Amino acid sequence: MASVVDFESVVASFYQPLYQFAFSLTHSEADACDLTQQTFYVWATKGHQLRDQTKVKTWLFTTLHRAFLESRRRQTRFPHYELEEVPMDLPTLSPATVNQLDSGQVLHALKQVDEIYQAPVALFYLEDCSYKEIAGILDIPIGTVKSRMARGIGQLQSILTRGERADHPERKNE
Amino acid sequence: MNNDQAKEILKLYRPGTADAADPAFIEALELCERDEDLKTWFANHCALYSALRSKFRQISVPEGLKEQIIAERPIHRTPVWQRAVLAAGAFAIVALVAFNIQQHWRPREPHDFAAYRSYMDSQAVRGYYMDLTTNNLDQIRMFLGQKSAIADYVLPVDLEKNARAAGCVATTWQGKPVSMICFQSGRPLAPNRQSDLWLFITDRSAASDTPATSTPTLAKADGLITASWTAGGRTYVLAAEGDAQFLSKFLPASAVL
Repeated sequence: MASVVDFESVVASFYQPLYQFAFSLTHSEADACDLTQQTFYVWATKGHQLRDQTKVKTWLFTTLHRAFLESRRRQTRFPHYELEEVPMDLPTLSPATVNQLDSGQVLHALKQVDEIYQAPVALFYLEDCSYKEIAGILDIPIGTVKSRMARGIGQLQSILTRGERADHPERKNE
Repeated sequence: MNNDQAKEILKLYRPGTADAADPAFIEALELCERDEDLKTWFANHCALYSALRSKFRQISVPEGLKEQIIAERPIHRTPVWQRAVLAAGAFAIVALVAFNIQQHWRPREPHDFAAYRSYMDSQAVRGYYMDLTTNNLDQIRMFLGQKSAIADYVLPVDLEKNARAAGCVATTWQGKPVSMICFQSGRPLAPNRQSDLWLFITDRSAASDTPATSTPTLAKADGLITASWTAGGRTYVLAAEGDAQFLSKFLPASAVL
């Protein structure tokens, strides 16, 4: 059983990135709080079983993602796309355009991305996890991680570009 | 690897992370250094990534979430049955340790014949409850046999002739069986006394230095006069209050006074 000090230390280190990841998945503050709390609840009861303390972060993200999937009661497996199958032409989106957006607009765009790609995209931007760690968190092969990321990033940037054009119709003919 | 292939790979590159050391990106990164168009594209990719990353990282965490998580931390409680098992285990260990200590540190009781005789004398002096009260010697032998006590004893002729049986006790000394036969010598008995002459019989191996011969040897101990001898693998102690002359009435003439 993790000690009180250990628990508080783990919470202090990871509650923020976990919440951000949860919010990226749920797009709801209440649901994100629930998921984050549930994750630490599981850590408090089962975290002592983790022998390799260097994997706490991955363990927490994995647990949160599984809790999210359970909450959605997903019955069907996500189809896997290999990287080679993914069209790689991303829409043109400039850094300057993104800088003009606020966080809520970007997350609103993420919400419109196919749900299957949302977690990979969130981890792509939020965390410094290696692709191997992300594969562990999402419980899918690395190739699938990359293919989902590529598609998700494409969708996100496309949505943001469309939004930009909707906001600035004069640019449609550019 | 050509320019387009490098772009496809680097679209998943995250600047400022461990991707810089990821072998999957190294070749494409090297190509960036040599290809100006690719280099420009890559710089834009990194800027776009950083811009989007900063938006994700601006997700604000509700105030008090950390405190709420800590406050609502589940307290792990060991189930009652587990606590019972743990308590039983702990008790067993403590008992085992205590037993071992007792075995190793308890002063060992003297194992010699003097100790045996002294113990039996004290039995007679302190008082006792007879397991069987009877004047019938045959019943006493039968009873002792049923109690797995020593029953194959041979009584001195003079004891049988000059004293009257009162009963018996099947007892032990250091785990060894001892048959205690109580007699009345004919003297007036003290109040609450049922006998004044006692014969203790045990196996000769019960003590380390039991008498070697069948000739009774008299000795004074614990306020009693005793006669001790060994015959047929059994060691006998006859004890009474009084002196050697009194006791000799119940012993063979060969007894050493």
